Amino acid sequence: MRDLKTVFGFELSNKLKEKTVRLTTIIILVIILIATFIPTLVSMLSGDSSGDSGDMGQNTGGHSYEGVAPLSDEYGYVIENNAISEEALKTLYPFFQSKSYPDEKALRDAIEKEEIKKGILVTSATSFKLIANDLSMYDTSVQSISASLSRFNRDLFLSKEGIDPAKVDQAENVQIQADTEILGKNALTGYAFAYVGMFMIYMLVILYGNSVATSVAREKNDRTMELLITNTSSNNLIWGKVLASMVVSIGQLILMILVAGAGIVLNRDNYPEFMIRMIKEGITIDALVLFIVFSLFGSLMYYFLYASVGALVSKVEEVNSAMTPIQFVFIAAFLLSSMGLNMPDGTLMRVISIVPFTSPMAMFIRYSMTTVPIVDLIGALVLLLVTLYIMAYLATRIYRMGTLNYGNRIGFFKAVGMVFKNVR
Amino acid sequence: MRLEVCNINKSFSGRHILHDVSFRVESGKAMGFLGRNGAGKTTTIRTLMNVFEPDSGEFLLDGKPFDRQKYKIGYLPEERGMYSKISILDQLVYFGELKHMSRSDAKKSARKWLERFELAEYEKKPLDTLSKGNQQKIQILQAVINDPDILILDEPFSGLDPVNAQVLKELIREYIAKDRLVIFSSHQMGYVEEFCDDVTFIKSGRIILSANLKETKRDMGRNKLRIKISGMDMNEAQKRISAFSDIRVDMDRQSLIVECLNNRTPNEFLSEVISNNLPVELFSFYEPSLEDIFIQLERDEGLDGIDSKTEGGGIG
Repeated sequence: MRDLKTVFGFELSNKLKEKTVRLTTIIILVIILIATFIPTLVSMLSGDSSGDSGDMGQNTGGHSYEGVAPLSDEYGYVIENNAISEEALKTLYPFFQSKSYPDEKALRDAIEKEEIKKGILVTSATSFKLIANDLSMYDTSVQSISASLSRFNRDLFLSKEGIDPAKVDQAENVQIQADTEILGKNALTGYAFAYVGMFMIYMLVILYGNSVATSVAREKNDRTMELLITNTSSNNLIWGKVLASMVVSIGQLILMILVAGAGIVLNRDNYPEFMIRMIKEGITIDALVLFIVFSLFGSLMYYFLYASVGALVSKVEEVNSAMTPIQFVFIAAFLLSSMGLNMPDGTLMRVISIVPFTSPMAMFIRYSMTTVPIVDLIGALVLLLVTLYIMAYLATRIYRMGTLNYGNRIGFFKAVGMVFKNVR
Repeated sequence: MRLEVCNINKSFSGRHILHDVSFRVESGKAMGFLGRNGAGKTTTIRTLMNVFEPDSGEFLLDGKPFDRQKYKIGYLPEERGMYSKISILDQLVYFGELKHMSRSDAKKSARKWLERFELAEYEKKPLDTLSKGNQQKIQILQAVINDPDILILDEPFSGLDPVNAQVLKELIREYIAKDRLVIFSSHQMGYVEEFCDDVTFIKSGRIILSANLKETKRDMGRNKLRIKISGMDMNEAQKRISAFSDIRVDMDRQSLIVECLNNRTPNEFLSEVISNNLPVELFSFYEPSLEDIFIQLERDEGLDGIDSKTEGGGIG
């Protein structure tokens, strides 16, 4: 135990002294802080400019335009062959403030000279063409104009039939009161926590797993292993190293949560109501405990796997290629969990939330978004702990065995085979 | 303290590397462990340090199984290995702590040794900023930081300049004087000859000689004489003397070396030299250097002959 403490202390102090660890922490924290300010920045920017995104505000086609942003000066229009009454059209958004042009050529010239941004060529009561220099990805002009013309045609039709369109509007706009009572979990509110948590585990494992593997490989590369194992057991060496990485990563995680929390509190007035609800209702104590337990044991399991890989190479430069299979497994776990976010009740999610290599991410996603049977929960935890134990055992044995295996790199499975052969 | 290495065998991938390796080391004496590259020196030392377990055989300390946890051991491996990017003091303290010293004692000891090895100014520098010789000294400091009872040094002199070699020699002498158990392997015979009371030679994983150095020299020099003829070229003198009966003549840079065969005495040989009017410039008993012994043993072919020497050397 004393040796474990010594190794842990040494590894921890070296990790904290590493410039890359400090720099990465600062960069991540700054990014998180900036991210929490995004709603404030967006609201500041949208308050200052008239925007040119093609967002047409409170469309559409009603008879009242109060509160509609004066975007219509972006538009010009031409009505071909008197296809529709200009006077009637003027009652519709966005025509009501747009400038009329005599023909298509004039309309195009105006666009090219940037007098207007978009031109509407109305060819009949039911057809039109939108002309624009550039169109943003999110432009909704076509939908809005279509809705306006559709409304126009509907009103025309209703009037012809002797029905007052206003009455129909009234009939259509009866307000419905809807209340939802959720006895289990609301997938929507759990989504944010699940999503953020998944990324946090991804980062923990990738960043520090890499660092564990490199640190072991460096000891082998520098031939430090031989000195170390003549002074203490490989058990102490591997556990000390892995726990130090764990503590640093958890510390970083806590800092990230604190910074994110501070950012959200500072900017809470600018967050949409649904986001505040997501944060408040999505992060429950039990979900948080589950997240901590699974992320802790899951990361440890992966760190041991990374440590084994580090012990199998002879040179530090070989670590990256040796880590590829683990990265594949972990990235597959990440992708499967991402898929599971959209169907937390599905069979896929159930399976991946129990399998040890995917459960660290998948279980708490599932738990945050839906009700999980206690059997699944305990089963997943037991499987994870058993796998963690096996990985720790293998890492220790491989580290011990790797001490004197220089030269050709040994594959992970071959090394596992050698471990069991030696045990027998 | 008496450490006994008893019948150690070790194979790697079906290849038998160590064959019943046995020798004995006493405290207060240094034991020089010698052999050519690949002879099995480092493998033997590694099994002794439990870097890997032997397939069979045992290590005894004062007649009991050697429990490494009960003794303070200082080990300098052949493959030098410390952290290249970590500050010297930090890692020396770390190794001290792993050897069960308190942090403050480890720090105190590290500083004391750094001072003595004239490296105090580098204590905060990472190891790889030092010259190779200084890095080697740090590795040696790591081995002695806990004032070990047993000091095992694998090729400690390699990479050291004469001044630093002198510092290491003093250190080894100090440990011998403190009645500690010291084993070191080296290719540099001069150093071994300087300190070692006992020597062990290993060849192809077999111990071919393990004995007291002085006795070995005496045994191997028995019936051998040095002679130099005044005013005569050594080759010419060798030609003349080779014509005598019951002798074998060899030479080194210093003189001719004559071995008396078939119970011929040195007096009889000298009488014959004089009666042949050969003016004697030098005449003495021959004592082989360690290098001579090493080369001689390496030349010997056939394990039967070697085994008999081992037995004659009196290994435990």
